[in-house]
Amino acid sequence: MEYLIEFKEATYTYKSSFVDPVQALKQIDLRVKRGEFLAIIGPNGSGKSTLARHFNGLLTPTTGEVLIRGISTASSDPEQLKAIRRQVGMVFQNPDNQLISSIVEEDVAFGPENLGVPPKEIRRRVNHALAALNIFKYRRESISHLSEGQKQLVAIAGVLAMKPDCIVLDEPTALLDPFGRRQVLESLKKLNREEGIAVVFITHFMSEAVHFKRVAVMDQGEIKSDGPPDDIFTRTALLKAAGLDIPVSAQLAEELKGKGFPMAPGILHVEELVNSLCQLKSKI
Amino acid sequence: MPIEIENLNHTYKEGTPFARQALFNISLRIDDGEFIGLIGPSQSGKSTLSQYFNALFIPKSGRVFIDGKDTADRKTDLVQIRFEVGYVFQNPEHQLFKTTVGEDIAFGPTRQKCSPEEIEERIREAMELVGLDYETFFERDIFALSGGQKKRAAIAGVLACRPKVLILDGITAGLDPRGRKEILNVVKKLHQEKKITVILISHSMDDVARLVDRIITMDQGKIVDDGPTRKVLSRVDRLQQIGLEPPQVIEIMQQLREKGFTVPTGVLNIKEAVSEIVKMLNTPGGEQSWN
Repeated sequence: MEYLIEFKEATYTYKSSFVDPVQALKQIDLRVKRGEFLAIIGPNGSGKSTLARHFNGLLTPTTGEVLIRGISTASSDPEQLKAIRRQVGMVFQNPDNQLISSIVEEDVAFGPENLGVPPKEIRRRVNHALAALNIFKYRRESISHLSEGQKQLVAIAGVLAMKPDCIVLDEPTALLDPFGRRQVLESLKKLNREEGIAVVFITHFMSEAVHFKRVAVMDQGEIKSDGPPDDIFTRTALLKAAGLDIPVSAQLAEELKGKGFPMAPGILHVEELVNSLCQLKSKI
Repeated sequence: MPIEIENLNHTYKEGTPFARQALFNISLRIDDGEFIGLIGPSQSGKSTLSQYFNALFIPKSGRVFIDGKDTADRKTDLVQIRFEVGYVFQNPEHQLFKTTVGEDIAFGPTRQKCSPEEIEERIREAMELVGLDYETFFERDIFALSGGQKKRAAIAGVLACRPKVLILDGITAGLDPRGRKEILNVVKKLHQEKKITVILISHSMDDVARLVDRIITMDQGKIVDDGPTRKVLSRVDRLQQIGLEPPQVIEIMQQLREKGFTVPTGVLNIKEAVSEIVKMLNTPGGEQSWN
């Protein structure tokens, strides 16, 4: 079958006149299908952001290749690159780096305008994107009056208005408060579920990664593990080696198991832990 | 040097159509050696309030006393206050402005008119405290530092002024779990060994649960809670009402209580939670009856 995004033995080396070359990506093989809901976790400096910039050709691999629906991001045809950037949208950590207009709806319209979309269609797309992210009521607001979480939703709406097949978000919640984090995560779930858009979400927060259907762990420029969350998060040794946290519920379940209590396998969420404890208690 | 705040109000863009009141009648006292967590959602007034702690803002309405001195009094030496109450901002790039780590850390003590020997000694001490190796990093270009290293360099620059109070605004934002633990261990050490008063402004309930003794919660420009960590964090409803999430261990205990188990909600870490759950599982019955 055709993959949406395909990394084939991709490597990337940063070269600078100040420091020795650093190989940030080593032999990455990664495939993303239509409609996937993927989280990538890893410590600072593990190559996550370098990887993210390969998804739509902001960086191209030093060796190997990255294909977006079969087209190489290293293609020299500007039309093909344009198509790639439209199909795979990017959202960065700090929305202030990404928002360029002063009014919400103008910023969301910027992408489709530059794609040469007819005005009526732009209007339709902007309204749709604002509604999908629940920020329609702020459409005429000045962006500087919004909270950081709302700004991040505007940045996502701007990408959505370009009708992408996939949205890649590089630590979009790192600077947000818990409420803003929840808003962003819930919006992405909805886009994935209702519009079938593939989401690649890069994060440090394990409590966020547990919400995804697939989790890839990066460390030292390699993908160390890739699978469903209940599989990944029970590999405590791997996560600890990468300096990552294990979700609190999983840690508690593990500790209780160590004390001889027969806990259910694969506990990740608070509800699962509480249910397992209820069952246990009713048997005692 | 205690910090006392009396009936403080703050309005941004006062006297314009865009005026927005950010602080409403705040009163509080911070004593020497305290370890405080200042929490609240974005735009609740945390950063505005803390800029009064080192006289970056001077009150127009209400009064602020730092070490007994009124910051609105013309005779008060504000420069001295700003050396003694150090402020580390969320984004270290707003704070680091020299070319190399050494030059940046030297800036404060140079302004304090320290002798070259004293400056050298303070740089060494500050770098050691934050865990940046002197030989490796002294001449390192700021641009060649990782996010975590930049935060350390920013803290070292403030420490070189030998502050008695340290305000840390969102220092763990954007760091991975390991980086977060390392930087928080540095802060813990400064509080314990150097007896520095620390005010930690944070979105991470897990961080404050692990470290601080007292929590001040803000929402919409007002203080909505102020007390010992265990007490403030176990008021789950109040935290959720203002959009904060209690630490996950507390959420687990809360849900167990909702299912009718008798467990305390005021636990601060996994160890305490495990011990309470084991106690609950080993107590025969232990469930409250529903009817």
